[in-house]
Amino acid sequence: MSVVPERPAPIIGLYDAPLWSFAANNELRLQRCNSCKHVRYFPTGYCPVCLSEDHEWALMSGKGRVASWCVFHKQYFPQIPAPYIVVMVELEEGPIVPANIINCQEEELKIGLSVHVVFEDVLWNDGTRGKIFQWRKESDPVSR
Amino acid sequence: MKRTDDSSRIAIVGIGSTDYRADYALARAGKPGTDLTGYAVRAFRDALQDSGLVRADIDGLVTATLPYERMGELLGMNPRWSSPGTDPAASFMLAADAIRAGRAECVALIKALDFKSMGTRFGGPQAMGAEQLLHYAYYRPWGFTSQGAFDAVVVQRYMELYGLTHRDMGDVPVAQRAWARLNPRAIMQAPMTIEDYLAHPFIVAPLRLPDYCVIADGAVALIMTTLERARKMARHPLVTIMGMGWGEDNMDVSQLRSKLAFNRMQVSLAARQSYEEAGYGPEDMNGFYFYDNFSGELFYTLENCGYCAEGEGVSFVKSRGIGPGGSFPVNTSGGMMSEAYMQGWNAQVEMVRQLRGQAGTRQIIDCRRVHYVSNTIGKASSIIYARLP
Repeated sequence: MSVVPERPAPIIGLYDAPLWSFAANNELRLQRCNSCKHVRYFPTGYCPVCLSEDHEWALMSGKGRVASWCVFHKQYFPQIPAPYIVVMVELEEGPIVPANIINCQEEELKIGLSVHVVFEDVLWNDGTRGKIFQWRKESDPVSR
Repeated sequence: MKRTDDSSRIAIVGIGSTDYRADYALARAGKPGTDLTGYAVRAFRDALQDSGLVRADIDGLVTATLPYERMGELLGMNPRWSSPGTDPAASFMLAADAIRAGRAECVALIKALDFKSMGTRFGGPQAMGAEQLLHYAYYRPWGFTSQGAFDAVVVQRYMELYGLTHRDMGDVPVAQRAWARLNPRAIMQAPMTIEDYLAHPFIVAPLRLPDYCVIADGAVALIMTTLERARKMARHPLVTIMGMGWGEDNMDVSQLRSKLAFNRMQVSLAARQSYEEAGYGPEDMNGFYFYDNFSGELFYTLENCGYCAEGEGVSFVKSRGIGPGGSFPVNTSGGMMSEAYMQGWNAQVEMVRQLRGQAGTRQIIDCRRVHYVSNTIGKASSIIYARLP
């Protein structure tokens, strides 16, 4: 059995739990307003565009393009050794979703690079298990 | 709309600050010289003395990042009007409107910070501010933390789109360090060449340590009044606020959307309003001051304010020169990267000093008009000052 990496646990506020439950089932679902169809991230109780509270957890295509990135050389969390990359990805559905990118060197990154969501097993630092969503290059042959 | 009537103009008649360098050394040694409100009182005393006013003259009070309810007690004052403050421009607008409405005649604005002695963390598990700005904590499962990282991704994008190099970016902290070496109260005074800059390891690439502001303890105080009263005081050359502007682009700020668009919408909106109110434009300015929590911000801020066209920030900075001896002085006290991180307030004091001709060896020759621009979390502001005859 491989060792499951540990990560700082996500913040679970009033509206966050479904995001992580869906992630645990390998689905990236975000809130889509039933009134104006705006897709929002991170989770909130109402739509900032039309102020409606009526929404559904819509399945995202999981596809997006790199808008930018940075490389952490300083280690901020005991669970995440540096260096590591964070990429800002603009989803096809609109929201910008930062995450790490797996199996990718910084030199391969550029604005507009196509990426796809993947899910990795993690042990959150509150002792619970779950899955974290990450990015991989669309061209990456690694199986999902 | 351009203000043409003197009766609505506001003057700055008193400036004060603490000794950032001395307090940094004390805080670093674990023996801070005083506390948050103590710094505030020191800066206020300094500003009062500078203005020649006495405490009884101060009938309005704005306190920023201070315990608002206690400040009147601690300062021994019962002003006619008071309010908590936020950033410099929002606080200035509030105070100026109170003066114009006749709610107060002489307003003291005081800002204080004790981040250094309190050991405040700006990233990691104990990152500050998450109760107000959820994105300061939300992205921790991916290790995406710290305001520095949020700026690093913006600079990285600018680098690819507009050709900014690491060496180009280093020109900003190097120039500000050169200014800081002419400012006895600046915290960072060690000489720094571009090679020294490039020898620093990355913190969050593309940012190195000198690209970050210097976390500090200290305070800033300013005293504002009507132009009419200021003319009667005649203690210093007359410094007025000619124009102010505000702009916001809050859509998806937690996703850094407006930052990744280089703050173009909100900063240009803020700058334009201040130009219209002042009746000046970029070509009229003798000094430029920006909210330099991180260095890369300068390039697109200049573009957004019309000093140069989009994508020309780097060539503008290179051709004009922003350090001592350059034709476009920027953040002449050393800014937040070398003087102290006072969240934009130290720049206000420096601008008044420059306009009065009291900036010592870093004095801008014949300094008549200066411009301050800030962009924080989706909120931009612009202030134009002038020296009047």
